[in-house]
Amino acid sequence: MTSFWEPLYGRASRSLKPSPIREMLHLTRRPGVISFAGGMPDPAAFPVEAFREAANRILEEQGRDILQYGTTEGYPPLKAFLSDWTAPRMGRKLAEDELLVTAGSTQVVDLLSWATVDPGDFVVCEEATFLGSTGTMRNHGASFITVPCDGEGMKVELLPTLLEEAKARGRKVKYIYTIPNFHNPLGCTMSLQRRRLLVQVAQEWGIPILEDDPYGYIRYDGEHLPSLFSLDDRGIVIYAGSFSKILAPGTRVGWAGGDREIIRKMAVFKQAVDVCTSVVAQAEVYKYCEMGFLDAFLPKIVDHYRKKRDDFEAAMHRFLPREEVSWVKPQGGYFYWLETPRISARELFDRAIEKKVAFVLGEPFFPNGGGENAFRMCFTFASPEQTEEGMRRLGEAMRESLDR
Amino acid sequence: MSEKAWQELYSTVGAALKPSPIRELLKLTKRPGMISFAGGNPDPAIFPVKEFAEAARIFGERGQEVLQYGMTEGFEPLKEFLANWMAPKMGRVTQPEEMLITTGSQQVTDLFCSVMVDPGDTVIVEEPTYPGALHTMKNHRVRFLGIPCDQDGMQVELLPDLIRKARAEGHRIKFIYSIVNFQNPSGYTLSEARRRRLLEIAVETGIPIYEDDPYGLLRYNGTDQPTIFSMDTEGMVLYAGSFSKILAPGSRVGWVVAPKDVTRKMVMVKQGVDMCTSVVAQAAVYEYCRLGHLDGHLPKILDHYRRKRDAMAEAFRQTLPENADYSIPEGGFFFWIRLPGIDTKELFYKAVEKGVAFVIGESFFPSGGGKDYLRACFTFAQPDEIAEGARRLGLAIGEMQGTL
Repeated sequence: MTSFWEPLYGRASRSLKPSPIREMLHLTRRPGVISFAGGMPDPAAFPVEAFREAANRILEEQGRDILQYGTTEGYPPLKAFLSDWTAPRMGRKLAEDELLVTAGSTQVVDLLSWATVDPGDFVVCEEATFLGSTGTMRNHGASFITVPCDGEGMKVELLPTLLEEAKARGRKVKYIYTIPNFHNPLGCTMSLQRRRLLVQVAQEWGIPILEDDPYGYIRYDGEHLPSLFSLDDRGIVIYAGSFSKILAPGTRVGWAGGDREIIRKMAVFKQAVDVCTSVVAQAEVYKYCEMGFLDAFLPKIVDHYRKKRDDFEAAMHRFLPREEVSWVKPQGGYFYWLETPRISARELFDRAIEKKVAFVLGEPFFPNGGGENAFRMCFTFASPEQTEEGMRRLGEAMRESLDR
Repeated sequence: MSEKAWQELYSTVGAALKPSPIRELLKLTKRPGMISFAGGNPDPAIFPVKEFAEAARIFGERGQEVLQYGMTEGFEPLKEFLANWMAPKMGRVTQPEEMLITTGSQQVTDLFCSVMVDPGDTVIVEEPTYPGALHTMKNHRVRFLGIPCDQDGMQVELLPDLIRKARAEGHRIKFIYSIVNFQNPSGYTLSEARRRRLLEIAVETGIPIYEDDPYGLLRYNGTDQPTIFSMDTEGMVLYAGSFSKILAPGSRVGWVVAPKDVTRKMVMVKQGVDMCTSVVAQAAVYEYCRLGHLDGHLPKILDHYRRKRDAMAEAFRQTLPENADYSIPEGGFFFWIRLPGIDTKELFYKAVEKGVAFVIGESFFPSGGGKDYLRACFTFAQPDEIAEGARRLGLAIGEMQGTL
């Protein structure tokens, strides 16, 4: 039967590959495997009871409204809440037509790509970046120009040269994709100086920035840095936010904030892809926020994960061969990025899986290649005991790799 | 950024995208006192608010699971429920690998096009057909081949010639799109004989069928026709269903059943589109079904809408001119009315002045036509509004005829 369909598939889908993480997750689901792989919240930190209460309340109060089709732009009370709540980060209150509620922040990438990317166009991104996003961009036929990173994020000072080069080669750059806070997978945070420079370069070149910020509110230490959006006065930054990490990913509620022209365009595409985000989910999230649960639980979530990060850091110091591995302690977010110059991550992965501990290889995060000696570990999901035991196993696997 | 600056960054589709003319017309229908036969919305008065609120208890019972990221394929208990519940329609219990839960059935069109369509490929559609599907397909740069309909649906006997000629002209035909039951907008149902013939033609020509069936469970009289899916032994049919009309559109939960390979590809695309459909929405829908409310409530919906259909039929019998050409739909949401000699766009403005709205016929034709048709939705307006709206419509028509 496959043979009948095969010649009918579109070009893009013939080269479609399953997400390497999703595939890897199958391996990590084997019994007894301790997983540092998936970037998932700890279900123990979900505010289950508060969410249930909010859901019951809104269904009682607004049942008929929220079971009906909603406007594509989003549930108006949720948008009003977001406009207020995000104002400190955004530098101002966003107007109604500058906000679009989406099915998670993944959809922001999809809609912006619909609006801007033709096959063969380019997106600028960090040299290693969230592979879900590059997967989405690839579905639209995008290629990538990558910018090297260090502990302070994207080396923005290299950007003008890269853009000149691209221009000389006739490449059309449609937007710059960046995860400025607690980067996935690198864990780094872009410095204020680089943020200013990035906005300046983008303005000079007239290339929009997609500021993907799912982790921004999950900061464990240090001061919050201003968003790129707040540093921009020309409407060149599109900000993507999400409830996945500050409430729960199962809601699939995120949002885009940006210039009304591009927001309107993205809304017209959204109409065609899913009409509107689940109104039921949006309304439940709204009620949860409105009842004060978001502000009440967020500090608890941050405390919970800070402790996990510290446990993780301690376990790494205790069990890993320090001279063979380097990392930057993340100030927030979900991830550690480990570099092992003398160990192949792929080989280490096989050994680690044998010992029943899992992580994600570095390579799939590099859209233009690289990352053979690096890997990502998520510290939010495993329990303290699992972290301890998992790290012990990983240390063993690393030493065996070195002995070979 | 200025509109012009964005214009230079837009993709081919993004630049060509215009706000839909129907949406623009619909804005006029928002005036106070307006009776709307326009949007295809369910009646909120019949939403099972209490039962749905009861189902929210699943957030307390399985909160840690349903607040987490879900499988892209869908919430497994819901898939299992659907496979069993739909078995009589589908002719068998379909397998989990054949089914994907989607964010409404709108998303099925987007995902399926992503898998099948390269720019310039052709899709065969009924004339008239659902503009929402046309919008999505246009984004994928589909060329349309229209096939006329009569009381028994798509005039399938015209297909072989149409396909032969189109192929000779170089069309790459990717699939045939049909809304098989109580079609939107025509209300027609494809007869069993034509379903069989359509499937034969699909097999002969190697062109798959996309059987879109959001209204199939809303039959008010007459006998159900078997699904094309249930007749198919070759794996050529993709079937799309939705909870929008049988439960509530605000849930945004739909599903698709297709050959495993096609489903797997749609899953991969969906990973980059929204990762998974809102798990909280899926779980609430599942719990609602599991508690028996879907079966309990469906007969009430049928009674409710049957009465409304009868009310509109009676009202139109009294108020529409002798030469108005329409039939009484056996199910679904719509009356499709031809008013010989009347341009329904002109009529629309007159009708709106009198306080009644509908959708003009030309919205449903991908390549022009239908100027003397209108679509009237009978499910949304209240019974007294139906009578009054029909009266106003009759007056508007009378004025038009008087001025001819």
